Amino acid sequence: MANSSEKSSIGMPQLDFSNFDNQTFWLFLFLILVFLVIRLLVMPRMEETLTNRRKIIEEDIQEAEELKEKALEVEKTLNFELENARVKANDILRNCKDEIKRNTQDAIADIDLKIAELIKVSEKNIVSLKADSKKEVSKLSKKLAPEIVKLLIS
Amino acid sequence: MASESSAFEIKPMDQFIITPLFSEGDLEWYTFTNQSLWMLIALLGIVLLFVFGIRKGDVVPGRIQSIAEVIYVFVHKMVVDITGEEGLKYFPYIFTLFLLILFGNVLGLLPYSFTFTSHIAVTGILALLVFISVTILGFVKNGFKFLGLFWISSAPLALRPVLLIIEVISYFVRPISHSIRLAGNMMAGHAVIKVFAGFAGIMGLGAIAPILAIVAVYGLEMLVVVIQAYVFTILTCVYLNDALHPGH
Repeated sequence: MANSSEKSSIGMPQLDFSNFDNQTFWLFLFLILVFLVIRLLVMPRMEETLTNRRKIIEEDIQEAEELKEKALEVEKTLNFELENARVKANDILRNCKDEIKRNTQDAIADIDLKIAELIKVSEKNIVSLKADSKKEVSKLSKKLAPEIVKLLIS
Repeated sequence: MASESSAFEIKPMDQFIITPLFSEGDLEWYTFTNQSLWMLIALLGIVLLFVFGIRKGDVVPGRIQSIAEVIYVFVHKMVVDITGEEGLKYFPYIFTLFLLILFGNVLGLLPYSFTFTSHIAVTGILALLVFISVTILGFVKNGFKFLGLFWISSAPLALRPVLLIIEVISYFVRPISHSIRLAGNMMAGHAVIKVFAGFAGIMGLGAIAPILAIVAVYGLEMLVVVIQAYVFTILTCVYLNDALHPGH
């Protein structure tokens, strides 16, 4: 090892074969140490973290999909209910219209009937009144005639 | 280059010298060196980021945890993409390689630090470990069918012996290219920075030019250190895939 103690290289220090045993020893030592660190400390923790993350992401995606499905179902029922309600409302509306029409027609017919009756009654009354008034006039004239004659004479 | 003149002396390779830290004299195989120190710092950095950074394990990660997770998932995905699900068994070792190289490269960019991945001994051992284990794995998993890797059945029969030679050579060149690619990249970048820094030291006011060059090269090196760690890891995955599925 005269070379390295002189602190000056002749050519390439890499080709100084006298320290290869030293380099080999330390390389193997640290290679084994790094391997052990990776095998025993790094990989289990890393795999745990990565699988854990993958699991959480998968669960989240699954949950999101389930929620989406649920939302779709809710939307479907909502649409269905809406359609139902519309049909029902239309039905009710039509029924109401029909009923109103029927009621109005009934009422009009009723009123017509009543009016006809009233007309009949009043016509009768008029006729009887006419007759009465004739009688009255003749009665009055019978009563008045002597009076008028009396006045004329006097 | 040291012999040119005494006033103008740039020693870009001195930063790669391995020196003992707590003892004098010769290096024994167990001597704690500057290289071991920076391996230790890399280990501590890995522990800090990947043990304390993710300790809470939040579902929504914070800053440090995000960094750790991004790196982890990045390598994990790389292994799955290239070698398939059965390659995941070897993920801990591939991740170890990636982290050790990444931290070694990035820490090496700190001033006065030591880049242990710039040493052929280190990258050579890493590459040899991959080469040997992948070869053994190939034979254990596939038996002699593993040799089908060299016998390209999709090529015309006449070409196959030629391809066999090429494939065998390229197979055995793998650990060399695998290791020299990494060490060479690390060494070159650091040496270039050191050369520019040497110029800056003797140029007085004119030093602004080499300093700007250092900034540019440093920016490039930031890219290179990460890419080289990535390249080393992805090649490991590719070699592993050859062992697992030699059919193609």
